[in-house]
Amino acid sequence: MSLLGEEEEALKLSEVQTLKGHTDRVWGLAWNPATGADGVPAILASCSGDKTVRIWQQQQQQQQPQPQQRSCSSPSFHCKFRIDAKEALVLTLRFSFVLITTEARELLFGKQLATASFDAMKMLSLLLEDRHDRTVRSCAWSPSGKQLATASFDATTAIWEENGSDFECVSTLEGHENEVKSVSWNSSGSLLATCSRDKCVWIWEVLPGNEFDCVSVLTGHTQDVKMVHWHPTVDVLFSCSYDNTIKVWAEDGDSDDWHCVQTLSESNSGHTSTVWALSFNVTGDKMVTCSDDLTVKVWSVDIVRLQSGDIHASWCHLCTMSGYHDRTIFSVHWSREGIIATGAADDAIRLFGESEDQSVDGPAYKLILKKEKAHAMDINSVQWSPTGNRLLASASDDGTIKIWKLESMQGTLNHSSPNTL
Amino acid sequence: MTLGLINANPIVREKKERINRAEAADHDAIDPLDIYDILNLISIDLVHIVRDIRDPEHPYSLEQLSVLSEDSITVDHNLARILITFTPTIQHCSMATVIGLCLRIKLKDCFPPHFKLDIKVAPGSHADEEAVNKQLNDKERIVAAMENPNLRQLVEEFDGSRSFSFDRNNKLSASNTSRLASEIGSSHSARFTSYEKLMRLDHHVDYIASNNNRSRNVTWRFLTKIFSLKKSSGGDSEEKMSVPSKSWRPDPNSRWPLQGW
Repeated sequence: MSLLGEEEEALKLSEVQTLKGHTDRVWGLAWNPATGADGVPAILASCSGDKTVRIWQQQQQQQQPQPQQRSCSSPSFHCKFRIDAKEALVLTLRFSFVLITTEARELLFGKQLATASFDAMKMLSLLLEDRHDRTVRSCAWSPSGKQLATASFDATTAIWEENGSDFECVSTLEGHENEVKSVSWNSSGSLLATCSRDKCVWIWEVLPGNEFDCVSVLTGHTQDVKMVHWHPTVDVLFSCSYDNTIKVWAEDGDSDDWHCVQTLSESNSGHTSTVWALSFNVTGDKMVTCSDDLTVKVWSVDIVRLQSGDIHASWCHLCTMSGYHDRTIFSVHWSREGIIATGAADDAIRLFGESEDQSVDGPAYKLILKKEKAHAMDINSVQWSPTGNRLLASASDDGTIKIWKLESMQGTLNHSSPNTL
Repeated sequence: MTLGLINANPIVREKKERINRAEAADHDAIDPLDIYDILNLISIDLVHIVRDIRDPEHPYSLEQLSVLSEDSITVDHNLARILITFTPTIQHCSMATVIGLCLRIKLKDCFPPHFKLDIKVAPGSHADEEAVNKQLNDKERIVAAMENPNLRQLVEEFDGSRSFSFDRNNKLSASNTSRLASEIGSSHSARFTSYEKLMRLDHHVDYIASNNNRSRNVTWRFLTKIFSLKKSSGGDSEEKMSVPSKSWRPDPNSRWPLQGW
């Protein structure tokens, strides 16, 4: 479905819900790819400077059926309720202390509790947060949705698995010398990549029984590596760094011999300052990157060549969007529909889409929408929901996560307003 | 490579008398001079950042060292931005990044959270100006640095109420002076040439139990032996030197400020 259609419809980003619970800045978000469709409630993981990871689950609310309007559900999120033998006692106590403020609850129970808003019944959730000693910087779900990897400044990466109604840490990946900044699973879930301030990228193989073996330590970046991300269809790894470059890593044959096949630097129209994030479009033939140099760049590759196994298929610069941001852009994400969302240090979310006017040099991108003051502080992460429902999640230094819906200005097909959620 | 102090002869200016400004009409507005006053209270002893010497040598404020002046601070209320530029006393000041970090942490609670703070070295005042500015304004690096307990301790010492100093153990012997000189030489060069090793040492400090103090001292002793310019009195006094890790002051044998945080 073409985003803008024949008549350009005006779009707006409406706030669906604010998720509060983290007590420090929220660094990263990840939607569980196996949820959100076919009646399965969507699940969102968030990681924070408060050293915890919170898991939020969409709750379907029953709407009164009205004959004139389409019946639909208004999505609302609550922090997923988890209970085990120890926490059952806490739960009993909780009901009698329901009026006590969050801070007092923390004192009594000695753990961080999250309360979700918008529900008549306050749902509490306890997270097993004693795993990481420092900020959890990034989280990523495996493609099957069964495991969650979390990368932390304590130089470890933890792998969590759902066990009944709880999550337990089934493995810890150690090896980096200092803060791990990002973690990413490949499309088949057989490989995991992590990167760190130690300038290295580690590739791990996922073995049965929750074993993770390091298959390669990739050096090449000259500074802190900010993010790693696998290509959506082929096993080619991308990393972006404080050294202003993006490196492409691939394996020669099947020999575990990973090496850098391409570096996108200033000399090939690359960024002139720290590259913070990258994202692929749904087909994998285009990549978008964002940087401290206040620009967003789009790159493309001959996807047929790449998918046929030619690891040296090179990426070339397609388009630079400059002049739209005036502070560092921390996050960029390409939706399945083709909309690029950016989250920046000026507290705003911007959406870009392919422009109808094709220039001679190729497709151009234009700003569709700018949501100013989307948050009270810097936005660290924006992530589109993997299902095609135009939901966008954003995480900020203010400790909140907001869920947005992109819809047309004329009036919504969902007849809910934010107050009723 | 200079031995001893990084800047043995800083240029010290007279403390300026502040002309009282009329009360600002808008009490909510952030007055650059308020920020300046806070920064001026920081009594910074540049020497003590890098080595532990009992007597402070240059206990001058940032204003007197011309590190900051009233023009250093610009506040834009419309955009909610604050820019602070400071001038390191020498072109190759290796502590510029640490000073900038201290400034940022000191000012963290002085303005509303939606204000954006940028800290830069004054144009032309530092040889690696671009690299220093980039590091000083990388939010993720700043957060990671502040989670490093040793760097955090260092930064938290920048307070007007007391000057920053390390105490030496009282058990020092008379050969202190010669040992001190060798340590100055060794530590200085060790810092510049063995930065990677120090990073690894620091990592171990954080994650390995204190019974590994011995192994750290072995590595440190090895480094000082290679680089010492005067013969040190040998390994014995080094072992006596190990400061109990419970002391609030960083262990001088194993921790050095990380300029590249």
